[in-house]
Amino acid sequence: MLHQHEKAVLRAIDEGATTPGELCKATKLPLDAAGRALLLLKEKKAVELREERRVEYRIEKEGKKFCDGGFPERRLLERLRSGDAEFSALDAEEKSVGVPWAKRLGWVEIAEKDGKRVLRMSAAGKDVAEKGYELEKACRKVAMEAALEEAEAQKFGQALMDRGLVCKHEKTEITHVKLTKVGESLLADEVFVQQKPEVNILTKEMISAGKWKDVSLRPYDTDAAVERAFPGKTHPLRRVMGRIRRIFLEMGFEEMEGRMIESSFWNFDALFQPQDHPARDLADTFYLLQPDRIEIPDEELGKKVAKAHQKGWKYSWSREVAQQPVLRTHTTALSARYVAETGMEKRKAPAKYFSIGRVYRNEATDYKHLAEFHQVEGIVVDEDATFRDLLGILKEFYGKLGFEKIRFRPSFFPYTEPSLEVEVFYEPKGVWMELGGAGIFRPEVCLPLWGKYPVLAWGLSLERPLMLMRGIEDIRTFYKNDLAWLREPMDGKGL
Amino acid sequence: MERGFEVAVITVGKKDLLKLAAVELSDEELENAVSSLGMVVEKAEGGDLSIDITPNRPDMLSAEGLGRAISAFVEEKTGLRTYKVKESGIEVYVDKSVKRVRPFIAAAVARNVKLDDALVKSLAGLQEKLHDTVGRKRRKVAIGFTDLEKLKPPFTYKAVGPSESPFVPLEQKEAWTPERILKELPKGKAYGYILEGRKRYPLITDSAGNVVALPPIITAETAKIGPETKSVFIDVTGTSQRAIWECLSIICCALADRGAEIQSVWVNDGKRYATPDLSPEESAVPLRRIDGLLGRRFDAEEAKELLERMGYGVEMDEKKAKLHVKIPPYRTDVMHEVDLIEDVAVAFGYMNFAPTLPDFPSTGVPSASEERDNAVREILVGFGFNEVLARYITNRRDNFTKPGIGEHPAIHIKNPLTENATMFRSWCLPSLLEILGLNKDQKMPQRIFEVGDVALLEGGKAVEKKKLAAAICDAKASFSEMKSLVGAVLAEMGMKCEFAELDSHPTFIPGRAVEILRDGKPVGVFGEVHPQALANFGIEQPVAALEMELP
Repeated sequence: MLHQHEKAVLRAIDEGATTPGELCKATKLPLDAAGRALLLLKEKKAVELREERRVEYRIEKEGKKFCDGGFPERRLLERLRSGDAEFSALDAEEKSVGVPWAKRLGWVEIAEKDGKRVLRMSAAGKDVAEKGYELEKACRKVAMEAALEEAEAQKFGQALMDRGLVCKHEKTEITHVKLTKVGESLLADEVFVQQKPEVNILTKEMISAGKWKDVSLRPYDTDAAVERAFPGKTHPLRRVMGRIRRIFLEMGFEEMEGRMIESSFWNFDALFQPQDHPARDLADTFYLLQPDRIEIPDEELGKKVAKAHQKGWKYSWSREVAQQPVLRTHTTALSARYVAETGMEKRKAPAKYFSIGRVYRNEATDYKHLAEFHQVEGIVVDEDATFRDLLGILKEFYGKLGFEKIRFRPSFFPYTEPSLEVEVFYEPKGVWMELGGAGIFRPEVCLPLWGKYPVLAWGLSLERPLMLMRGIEDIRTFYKNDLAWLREPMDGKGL
Repeated sequence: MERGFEVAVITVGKKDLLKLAAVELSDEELENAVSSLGMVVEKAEGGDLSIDITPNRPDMLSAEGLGRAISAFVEEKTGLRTYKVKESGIEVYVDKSVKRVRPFIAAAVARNVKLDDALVKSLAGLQEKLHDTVGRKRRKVAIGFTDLEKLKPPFTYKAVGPSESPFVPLEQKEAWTPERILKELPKGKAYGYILEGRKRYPLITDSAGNVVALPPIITAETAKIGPETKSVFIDVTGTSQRAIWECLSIICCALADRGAEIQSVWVNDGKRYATPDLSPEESAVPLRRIDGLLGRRFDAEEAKELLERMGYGVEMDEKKAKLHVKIPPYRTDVMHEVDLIEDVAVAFGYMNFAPTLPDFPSTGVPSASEERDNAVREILVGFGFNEVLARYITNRRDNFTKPGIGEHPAIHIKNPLTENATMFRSWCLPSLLEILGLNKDQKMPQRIFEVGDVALLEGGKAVEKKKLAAAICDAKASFSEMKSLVGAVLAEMGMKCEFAELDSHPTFIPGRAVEILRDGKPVGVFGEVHPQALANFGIEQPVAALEMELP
């Protein structure tokens, strides 16, 4: 299908137009539109174009000045016509530009007169003074936007450019157009279709009154670039959260709910972390100015935890220290609450719980560390649970996350025994990667909180698997909220 | 589940390690053994290995302890190692003056020591790592080594004034007062904080009045150990008796493994007792506990063998139902039978257990609030919004000053590291405005939202709230566009709300914002953001914004 401009141009050529100028006149199109239509027709092999490369000179600022005021070397000649002149009589431009050029061209010579050095016109200078200065004439032509003749251009073009008075532009111009056989047959078809008037927009009236049958809907340039559209989306981390939630729910886990502003009691003490444990150092934990304290919810529970610390770590446990509010450093604080609530018979055992939540670390941020990030955590509260069950659950969980090959290595966490590190085989890179920790809560954790034992537990950072999967090197990427990154297509990856 | 600690990295010579373990192992076998014991070989370079040691095993902070564990694990030398302690007859008098400064001291003597390069390196490394970990950077435990032959026992541990008892500190030529050591010597500057504010400093002196050490800072040059040293006097001081005993045991076992003879020292602090005590502790584990926790049946012989490969001494009772375990003195981490059961599992190999699944029935239960949040997110995405994930830790400037509002009671951090992270945000809009400011050169229109948390201080208590915040940034962003959006969102959520005139809110343009009321109570606000606030956040286009509490 032809664009309406193409059709108009075809018709105009058929009616005798042979140059772009004539085409514009016949079609009433602006020159650039007619030119585009010609090029499109050329691609379709409907027209034959004769093109010529043209050189055009344009005046520069300095050239304009010289044309307006006269070339300095010629002005100098004018002055010398009426006799020799002393240097001091010349104006600044004559001195700086006129004299060097006149000398170079052999128009003047330096002579002695009355003991003074003077400028005197030579024979060549006289000749120019009489016949006129060709270079200047050419420059004036350029200044008036007239084209230089071939011979002129050859003689003066470079010289004028060298002096920075004019510059050169080259362009291709269509000088002649002609229909081809293809063009003729296109035109023949066109004449046939041209029966109906062309319209751009399909209106409600046209549809309802059936008028669309009487018009021809103008075709579009379907290759034309369009504006890029961005869909609304959830954050990439949210999608991983969603996937992990679904895995937990499929595995029969209940989602935990809790707070981020927590007492040290739940964050540390309930997990058997002694009050001088390095993790409790000011350097790692955000302590809060207010509230003054967060009470331990149950007197009896406080005593039991205190006793476990005193017996296990042999120091005198402080209630005040346990009541210090902190921003939770791990979601295990939440797990501790759920285990304790099981002990208070607010919850039933056996049970499986999970949470995906934000945690805080008082540390400087860099490509590997954030002061706030997300943690994924699962626990199984079950008197009959075993170490083998823990391994089985981990295998299933990581398997559902897409990691078929998994291995376990002994490790250490302050509140679990046995403890282990989970490593998964990441196929695309062909390497084993640490992807979380796991263990069985110590009796010193379980017994004060629940009165029974054991609790299986494991956790991983939410950001880490996504960094692996999307090849993200800098963990800060997730919280930068760069729209270019958020809008980036998912490439069909659900995660 | 997060570690909550940094692992200590030690560097040991491979040759030295294998010599101590008395085995020949290929690099791979050695790495496997280390990994099976729960540690990680970080780097193998030249003849050296860098190994991560978790804080539960301070005994492995040196080549001696590591070699000992490997030797047992690969079945070269299994079972309990016994460490003999003879009496040295030397006494340390503890003066009452140290009670409130640095109350505890333990000491030992190592005779027939051959201080070759390997041992010097290993001992210095162990000392440094114990200081950093168990010792809490010397505050809790500090260890000193001196040459006994240069000293005249008995010793006194006392506290002295800052300008008393000047002595020549290690690597110096002239006598310094304790005060000057703290102020000018690098070690004094590094660890002086431990004694900060004290009127008196702890000091160990010998019977001739010579200073032995100024714990936890430095020992005396005159008592320096060197290649010629045959008898090392070890002093361990600190704030926890248990911790200093543990460190002393670990050091003595390491020296004994290198062929030294360990002798005890009498500590007299009112009571008179000998340190170190290197006799094994005893514990018993019923086999059914092992089976019950690990989920696999181990017979008594098998469990015994496994524990022996972890360096324990094990005897079975007649019925073979219980194991009597002797715990070596360096295993300071064993507190409970589960610690022994873990070691059974470690020796057996975690990968040798067949995984099982708990067999009680359960169904997945999503959190109601999480479900609600996700439903709200879905609505906003439907309107073409991009979800952002803001940081919750902020500061007064971003939370109050830039949006132009006055301060209200909020949750402030007591120990901020930087001035950018000093409080928990009390509302969401500053986060969104900051994000729009960062994205000012990205394509418009920009529609962003967040379902996130804020925290306030109400009646002296911390209250966390879940909020929906949304913002449209565009040349045409307007109150009416936001109003139609809010109306639609509220309708989708099934929330009945009224809009009321907003009393001056400096973040919004007067007359172009309203308050959202639910049952007459304000739950949110929306409108066109004030140009001053836009300018403060570096935003160059109009913004219409919403923030409301979720029910």
